[in-house]
Amino acid sequence: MQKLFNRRDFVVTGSAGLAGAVQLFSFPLAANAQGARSASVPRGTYVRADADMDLLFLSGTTALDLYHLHPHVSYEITMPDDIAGQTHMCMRNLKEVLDDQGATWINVVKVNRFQTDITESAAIEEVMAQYFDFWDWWPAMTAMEIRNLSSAPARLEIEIIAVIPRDA
Amino acid sequence: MPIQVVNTRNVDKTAFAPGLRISSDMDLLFLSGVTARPPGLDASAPYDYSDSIEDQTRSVLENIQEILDEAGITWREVVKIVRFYTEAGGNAIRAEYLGDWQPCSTTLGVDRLPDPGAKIMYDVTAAVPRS
Repeated sequence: MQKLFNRRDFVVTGSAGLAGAVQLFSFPLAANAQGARSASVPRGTYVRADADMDLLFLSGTTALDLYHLHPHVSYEITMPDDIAGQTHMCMRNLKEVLDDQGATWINVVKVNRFQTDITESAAIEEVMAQYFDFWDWWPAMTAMEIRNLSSAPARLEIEIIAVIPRDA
Repeated sequence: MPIQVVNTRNVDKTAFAPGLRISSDMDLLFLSGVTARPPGLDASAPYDYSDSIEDQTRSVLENIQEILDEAGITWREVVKIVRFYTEAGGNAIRAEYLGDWQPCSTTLGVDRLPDPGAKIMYDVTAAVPRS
């Protein structure tokens, strides 16, 4: 039996989760320290996935089109300056891979965000919320500020790991 | 195929896989960050890093090779590489080791690496077939 723990299930029971394919477990808030913390902190804590699933690793993607030449060529490096636009384009790239593999955002268990400005987190998460069903599904997430991304105008790079239940 | 490269479009334009799916029972092998510093060297022993990013990159790849050999796997089982660098360069050397294998890749420029003198660090994840 596959198991997935969702931060929401520490707070709210009966979430739909990965409908049918994955069983969600809920237990009282007081029973788990991470659950207790997650009640007051608006961040995913951890997601536990059974090993009996396919793992899908995605390369980190910026707003640059998923398929671009290497080394980078200047005429391909075109992206909006605003962080909301860049976030949408990152999510578009990731979705292309998820779609290809028959996965959706609720298959995503881990998100790493690399940002040139950590104060843009709120704006980034506002956009990401639109994809993660307004955080009805909340993957484990790490964000960090770094100096350089793969092209000069890029302000955000997102990489994710997804799990996909195996066909019965 | 236990490890399957995900290509969403039929084009040959990327230097790495957009995605990579592990679909059989495999162990996951997580490597700590590898710099040019030899993995067998005592952590307190001094190590003189080369000034050349190319030399450092080659040493990093050699060090990873040593770890992969120890684990009994090849670059073909490497599923994810995150590169942290303070100086860009040496990218072409990677292909000498990886050949046509394209694991998922993320590249990040950082201010500093843990070891003074280190210019590049690879963080590697591999999948090991169960015997």
